[in-house]
Amino acid sequence: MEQPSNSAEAEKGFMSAYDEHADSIFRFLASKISDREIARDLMQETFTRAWDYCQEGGLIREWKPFLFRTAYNLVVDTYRKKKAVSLDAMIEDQGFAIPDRSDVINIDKAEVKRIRAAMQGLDEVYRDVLSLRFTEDLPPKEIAGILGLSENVVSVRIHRGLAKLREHMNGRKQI
Amino acid sequence: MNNEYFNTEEKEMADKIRSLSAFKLTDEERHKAKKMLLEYARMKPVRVAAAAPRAWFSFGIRPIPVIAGVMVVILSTSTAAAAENALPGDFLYNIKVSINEPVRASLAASAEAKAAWAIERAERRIEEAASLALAGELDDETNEDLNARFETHVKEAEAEQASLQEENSVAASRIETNLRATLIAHADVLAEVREELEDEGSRARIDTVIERVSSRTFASARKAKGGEEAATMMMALDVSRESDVADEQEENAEEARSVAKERIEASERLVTKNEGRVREDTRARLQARLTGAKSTFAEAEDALSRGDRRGARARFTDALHGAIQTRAMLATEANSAPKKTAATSLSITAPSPASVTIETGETDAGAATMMSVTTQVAATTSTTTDEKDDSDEDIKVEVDIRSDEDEQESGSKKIKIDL
Repeated sequence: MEQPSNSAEAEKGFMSAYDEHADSIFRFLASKISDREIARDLMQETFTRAWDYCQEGGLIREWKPFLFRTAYNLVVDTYRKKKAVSLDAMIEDQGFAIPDRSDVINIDKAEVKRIRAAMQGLDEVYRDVLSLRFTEDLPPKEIAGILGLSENVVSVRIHRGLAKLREHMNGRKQI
Repeated sequence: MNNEYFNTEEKEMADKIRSLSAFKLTDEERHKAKKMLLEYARMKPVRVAAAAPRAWFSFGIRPIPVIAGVMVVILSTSTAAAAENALPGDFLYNIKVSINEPVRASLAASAEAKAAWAIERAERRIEEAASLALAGELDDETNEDLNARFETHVKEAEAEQASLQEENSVAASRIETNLRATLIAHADVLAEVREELEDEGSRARIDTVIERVSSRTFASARKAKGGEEAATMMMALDVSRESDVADEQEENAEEARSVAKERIEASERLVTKNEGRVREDTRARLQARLTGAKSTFAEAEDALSRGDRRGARARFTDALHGAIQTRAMLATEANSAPKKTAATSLSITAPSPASVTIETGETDAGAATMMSVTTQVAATTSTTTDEKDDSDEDIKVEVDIRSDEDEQESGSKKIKIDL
């Protein structure tokens, strides 16, 4: 009696986690792997791994950090083996189109591209914390859990990252 | 979050970053992936049994009789502590290697945990050899036995690592980092131990230990034997140490970090727990080494936050070596220190009221060690063993079999052994 309801409940929880977090996970992966196809595959893989975990008896209380941690671990596997293509190639050649409907803030396409380029130019250690903190709105504590760092290091990186990003945006090169 | 403060410029930058969240999957991509995931979830439905906590002895206590499993749970609180520090030749050593360790191995669920435990067992065998050598008690036979066990455990760790290579290369690489650092750090400590040895025989034996550890780290140095060659081996180790940093440089900064963090914490716990067992000067040395490892770790964190992944990796590896050396020094010195008469008790729940038999063995081909203790019910059984000729203390074993009302219902007896 219990099984179908358990299974159905688990499935329901899983699918709503997908609806809620698929974009964030995809965006996070895409920021680390400049290849839309791979980012999309890894997004799927992130979810199938999460399901495997449930299926083996694991209980996921907080989906968001769990998914990000899984995605981060996955990308560490893939990304390290593959040299990232340049950002320009990603935006121009591979149709990394920015959707028109920006529901967050009124910044024009060109500006978004510039921000993205500046982010891409940042060292990975800063890019990760900045996109998790601001684009994905995760608290430093959860970011610390995902990246395996202390909360303090995360906070330091957020501030340094913001300063570096500003330098990039203002056209000064980081040494 | 509450203590996050951003100035105006920072807020402005944060808003810009926020704007990137407009970047999304297309509707088509989202639906396609969703459909696929739904199919995947239905193909692999959640099992009802899996939701319940796993019965811990349903997986993998292979040949050990259930009683040993039951026993070790009870053992772990009291006698385990005594057995854990036992050296070859001690009364409790067989409990350590034939009961405690295999059961703990079978309780490790993941391949990574299994590998970590196999590495720990390999370390223990090296430390035991070093402790015995310092006490002037390492004979050829014991050395051979420890060697065989060491090899077995290293191979176990390597097998777990190989099995993970495909599915989880991060974990596999962590195991590799841990194993390699463990071997290098132990070789360093053994070289220090060697300096303290006075007689040629002990030196020759510790050289064979160094050789066994080094040859695992740097396969081509296997041929070398004896004192001078041991030095060559150490040079080979230095080469391997450098290539360690050069080859993988920034690649594995995070892996090195997580392994180093784990080992520093473990060493710290160990030092805190065993402070009372070492001399004052040793304690100071351990603290110094641990503090060194911690500050190197902090430097590595700093390098990482500056984006210097190569520097970070090198420092994490140094910190890792420091942590393992601390542990190795502690184990070696604490175990070779003269034994005190410690009062410890062991409680065993046995199935039969008439007699108790603890029987266990390692099934690893060849080196099967059987230990059997049979005790008849009696009010008190006392045995006195002279473990060491040169020691003026006796180890007194008292077996006191009592029956409690509660336990009689389930047909079990409680045995108390005071050491």
